[in-house]
Amino acid sequence: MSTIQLLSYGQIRLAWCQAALLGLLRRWGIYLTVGVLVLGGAGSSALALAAASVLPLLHAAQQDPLTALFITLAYTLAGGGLVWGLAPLLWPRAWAEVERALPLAPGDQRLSDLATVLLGLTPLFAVYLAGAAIWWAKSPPWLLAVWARALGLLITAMALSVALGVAILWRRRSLPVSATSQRRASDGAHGRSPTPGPRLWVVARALLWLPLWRGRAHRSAHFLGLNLLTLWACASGLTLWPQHAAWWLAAFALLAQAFSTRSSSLLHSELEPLHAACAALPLSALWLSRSRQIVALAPLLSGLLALCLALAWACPVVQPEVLCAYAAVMLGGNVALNATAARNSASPRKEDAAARVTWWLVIAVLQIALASEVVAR
Amino acid sequence: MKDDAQHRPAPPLRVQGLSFRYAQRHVFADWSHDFSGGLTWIRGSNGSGKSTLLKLLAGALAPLTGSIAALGIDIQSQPLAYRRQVFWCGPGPVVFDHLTPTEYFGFMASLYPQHDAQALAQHVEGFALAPFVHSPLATLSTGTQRKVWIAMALSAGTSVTLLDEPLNALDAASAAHLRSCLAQAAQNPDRACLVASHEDLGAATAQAHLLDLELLRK
Repeated sequence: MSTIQLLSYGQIRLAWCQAALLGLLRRWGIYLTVGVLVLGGAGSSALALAAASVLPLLHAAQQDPLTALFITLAYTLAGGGLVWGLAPLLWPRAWAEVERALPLAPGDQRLSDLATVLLGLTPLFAVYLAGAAIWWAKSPPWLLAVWARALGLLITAMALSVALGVAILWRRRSLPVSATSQRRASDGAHGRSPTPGPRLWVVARALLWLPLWRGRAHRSAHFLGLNLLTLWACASGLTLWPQHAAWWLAAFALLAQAFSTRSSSLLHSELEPLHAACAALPLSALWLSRSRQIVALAPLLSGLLALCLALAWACPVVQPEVLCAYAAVMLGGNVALNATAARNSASPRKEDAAARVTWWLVIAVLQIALASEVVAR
Repeated sequence: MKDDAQHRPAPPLRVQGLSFRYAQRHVFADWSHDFSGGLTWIRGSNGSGKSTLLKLLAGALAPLTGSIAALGIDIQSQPLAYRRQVFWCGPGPVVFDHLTPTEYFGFMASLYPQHDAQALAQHVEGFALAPFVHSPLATLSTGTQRKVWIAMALSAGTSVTLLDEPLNALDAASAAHLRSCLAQAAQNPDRACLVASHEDLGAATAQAHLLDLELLRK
């Protein structure tokens, strides 16, 4: 065997994070590209977005200290939110037990956290710095007088984002990892038998409900909950402010589509390995795949019901045929999008992703158009 | 007598008043034990607490009460020094599976300064790992990943080695190599090797201390 090259914990974590983040970028790159293209020409809109990303912070430099502090904290939360979202890629929970058993100094762990947080925040910071450079080049009169303060706020927001990110990873590490396995172990020890009942329910409980409830698919479960709350919030908003019904309906449609697509993708990634392991069991793979799609659509169905009730309660001048078309496009579109996503996730190809994004946008535009016509003017 | 106790060298691994429970089940309640040098074979039925014990001894799980010390180094007061004396090989594949075995060995060597490079080379040969040392662990079979972890455990140079079901997923030749290593470990009074296994340990069985966790329940 060749001579061993010593590697630090920070190095191996950075290698893992880099590969995981590149994988994420490969999956989402097409969506980002299409998003930028939709917002305008590729070059000019990207520059405009970068400039807009730091505008509130630069404006804050000429505001009173309390407002500046508030906006800086909002930027810090944005950075922290990004780290929170990327946390499974920055520090996988599967490492927890092994990490605790290794002779790693807390300083080394924090240093590796810092390095991975910086890596995760690099794209955001690149956008901020590009935005600052654009404003530097333009140098509008209102900014010239407060440049030093503006840069100070930007650097503070970036530093606080990193600090918050490190704290998030540290907190994630200190969570009791074995809660799920502990429950699993204790359940096993008590020898509980599966709940008696129809076979369908037993299978659905074992392969859908319990993974969502006990943790294998906990991210999906959290996301489905968030999805449900958001759609109910839209329906509640429509009840409270019916004069803006068209906006609520459009927001509902867009949020429902975005959440449903993401839920479907998350459910697939978390449950598919479990369902694939059932290949040797007398279970239909098609049934398992359909059941995943139904679970992904459950918040949408519930939200749609709440929306119809809200419309009936608050808007007496609904056009029923347009409402039916709106609901049909939403349900049909999401079912089709989710089915395509599930079919393609096994072997993702760039052209599939491009077609999916195109369809996603077409369905979204169609729903927004219908949303504006559901309530008669 | 007190002076004798003070001058007696600390055992490789000492557990005092250990308590641990999962949500609804006690696994250990005020349990004490001195693990002497050589090989200890931890036995017990499924769910008897073998893996939990090894994780507690490794520091992967925190006990509710009690103390654990390796060569007199306490896990609570000197966590880093303790972990440098203890190497834990879990029951599954290696988690750092984005690394190649060579990179994994390099990482571990940076954490365990007393590791034995010569012994590692012997285990790489004994487990027939040479063709795989430059392939990412994620692309290797479970058995090969296990062999990488075990090879490192056997050459980390720690005073305590914890092996959880080391014979699982090993081919016959590798199992034979491991059994011969365990037989050697059984004759080394300076180091403790704790093995939780349902499989027979071969020639080492006769020299191993037995710890039956079933008996703790009675």
